[in-house]
Amino acid sequence: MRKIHRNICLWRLTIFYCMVMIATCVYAQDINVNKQKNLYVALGSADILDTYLSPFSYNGTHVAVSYENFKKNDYYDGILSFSKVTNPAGNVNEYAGDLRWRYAKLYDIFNKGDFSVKIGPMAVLDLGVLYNERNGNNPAQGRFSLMADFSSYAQYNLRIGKRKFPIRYLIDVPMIGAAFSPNYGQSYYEIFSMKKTDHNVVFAHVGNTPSLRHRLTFDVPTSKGSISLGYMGIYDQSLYNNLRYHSYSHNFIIGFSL
Amino acid sequence: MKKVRKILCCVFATVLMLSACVDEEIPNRNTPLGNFEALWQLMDQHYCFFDYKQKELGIDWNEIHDRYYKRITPYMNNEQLFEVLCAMLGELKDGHVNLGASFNYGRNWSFWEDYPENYHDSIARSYLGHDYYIASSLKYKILDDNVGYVRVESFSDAIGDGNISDMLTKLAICRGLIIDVRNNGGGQLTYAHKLASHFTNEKQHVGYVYHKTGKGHNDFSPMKSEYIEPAKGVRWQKKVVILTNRKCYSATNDFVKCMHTFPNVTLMGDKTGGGSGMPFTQEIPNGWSVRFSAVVFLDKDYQQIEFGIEPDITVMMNKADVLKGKDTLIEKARDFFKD
Repeated sequence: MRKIHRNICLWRLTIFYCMVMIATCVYAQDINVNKQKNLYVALGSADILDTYLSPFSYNGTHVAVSYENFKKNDYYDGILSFSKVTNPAGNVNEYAGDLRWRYAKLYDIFNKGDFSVKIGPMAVLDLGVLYNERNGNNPAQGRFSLMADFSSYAQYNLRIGKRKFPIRYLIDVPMIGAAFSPNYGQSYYEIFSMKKTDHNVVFAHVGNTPSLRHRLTFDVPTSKGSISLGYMGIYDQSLYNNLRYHSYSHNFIIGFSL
Repeated sequence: MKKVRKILCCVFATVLMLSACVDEEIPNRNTPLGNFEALWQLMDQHYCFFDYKQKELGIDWNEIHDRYYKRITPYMNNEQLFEVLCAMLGELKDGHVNLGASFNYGRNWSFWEDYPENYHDSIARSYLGHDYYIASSLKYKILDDNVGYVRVESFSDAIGDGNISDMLTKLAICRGLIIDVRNNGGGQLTYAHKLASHFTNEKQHVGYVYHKTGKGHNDFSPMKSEYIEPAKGVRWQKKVVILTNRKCYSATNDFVKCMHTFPNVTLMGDKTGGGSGMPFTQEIPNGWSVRFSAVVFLDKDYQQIEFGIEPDITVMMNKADVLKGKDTLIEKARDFFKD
C-alpha cells in the first residue's frame, strides 16, 4: 500500500514538474550557453564503505548543495554534501560530511552546430569526514585530498520549436594527486596527540583512486533563466594503506540559474 | 570527428578500468557460520598481539578456527552463537577484546578475576574521610602523618593542568605523595599522560608505540619513541608511591609505565592488569561490535606490558589489617616515607 502511495506521489511530482516547465517555457528566453551560474540541490542514495571503521558497506541517504560557475572555458563548482547511512544490521549509523571544490580549464575539441565537447584538466580539493557513532578509538575518518583530474564537458542544444533546451554532461576522473589517510591500524591519537606519522600523505593516482563523478542535466529555459533537472553520480573509491573506501551516491538533481 | 572518437574511446577505456570496484573484503553473511568467519577474519587481519600471545600462551589462531568451527551449527540461536564466539575470543586472554551484543558484553577479565583484589573500597574511602578535596576526577587529602593521598578512580573524565597544579600546590607541604590507582580500569591516555607530566622536569622517554600496517600477523610499522613532556604548571619534586593492583588496566597501565620511568617514583602493591594495546572497534554481519587491540605500546626497554607491570615493592592486602579497617598498601606506603 505504501509503495502504491509512493508511486502516486512520484507521478504527481513528475506532472507538477512538467506543468512548471510548460508554463515557464511560454515566457522563456534562450539560455546563454557560454556563461552560466547555477545552484543545484541533490537528493539520492548513499553507499559508503570505510574499512577503517567497519568491514561492511553502510547504506542511506545523500543530500548535497552545489554551486556552479561556467564562463567560456573556465569551470568551477563547490559541492557541500551530507550522508546518513546505516549498517546492514540496522543498529549503527554513520554520518558523512564532505566539501569539494573543483576548478577546470576546458578546451573545445569539437564544436559543430548544436553539439560541443570540451576537455581539460581539473583541480579538485576535497575535505570530508565520516563518523561512526559506535566506535571507540577509531570513531571517525578524515578525508583530505588535492587531485588533478581529467574532465570533460559535452553539450547538445536540443531544439523544440524555436527554443533551445541544452542537455549538458560533465564528467571528471581523478588522475594524480595527494591524499591523507591513516595507516591500516594507526590511531588518530598517534597522528595528532603523539605527532607520529606513518605514510599519512599518500601518492594518489588512477590506480589506487579509481573514482568518477558525473552529472547529466536537461535545462529548461524560463523567463528569468533556466531550471535544470537531471542526475548526479559520485563514485569515489580509494585503496590507501590497505584501507578500502568507497562512497557511491546516485542523485536526482534540480538546479536553478542565478 | 576522428579526434572526438579517439577521445571518447579514451574516456570509455578509463571508465571500464574504473569498473574495478573497491568493495568489501569480508563477506557480509548474517548466518551463524558467516558471523563466525567474519569475526575470525577480522581478528586475523587486525589483532596486534598474535605473535606475542603465541610465544606467551602458545596460541595458534588457525588451530582456534578449526576447533571452534566445529561448534557452529546452522540452527544455533543468538545466545548460543554469542557463547561460542566469546569463548573463541577468550583464548586471547585480552581484556581489550570484547564482543558487544544488545543482551550481553563478552569479555575475558581473567587479568583481575583470577587474582586477589588487594583493594577494599570502604577501607580506602575511610582514609579520605568526608573532608577531602576534589579536583575533577582526583580526590585528595593530607593524611595525619603529613603524607599526601590522591585517589584516581578513572582516567575517563577530563583532568586539566589547572586541576593538577592546584592539587599539587595544596599538597606541597607533604613529605611524600601516594597516588592510588588501584581498581582504575583506564580511560583516556591523554589524561593519564597529563597527570604523569607533572612528575618530571625533563622530556622523558617512556616507551615505544607501533601499529599494524597490513593484514599479516607481523605487518607492523617501525617502533616510534613515546615521550612525556614536563607540564608547564606545578611539578612535584618529592617522592611518590603509586599503589597498584590487578585492576590497573589500559590507560592506567600506561600511566604506571610512564611514572615508573621517573627516578622519584616507586611502584607498590600487586602487578598491574596490563592491557597495552589500544583498542579499535569493528563489527560482524549481525551488528555485534567487536573490540580488539590494534596499537601496541611497549615500555622504554622494548618490553611488552600487555600482561602487566611488576611493582618495585610487592605488598598484598593483609586479612588482619582488613579486620582492623586498615589498608595494608596505604600503611606500607606511609611507612615508606618515614624511612
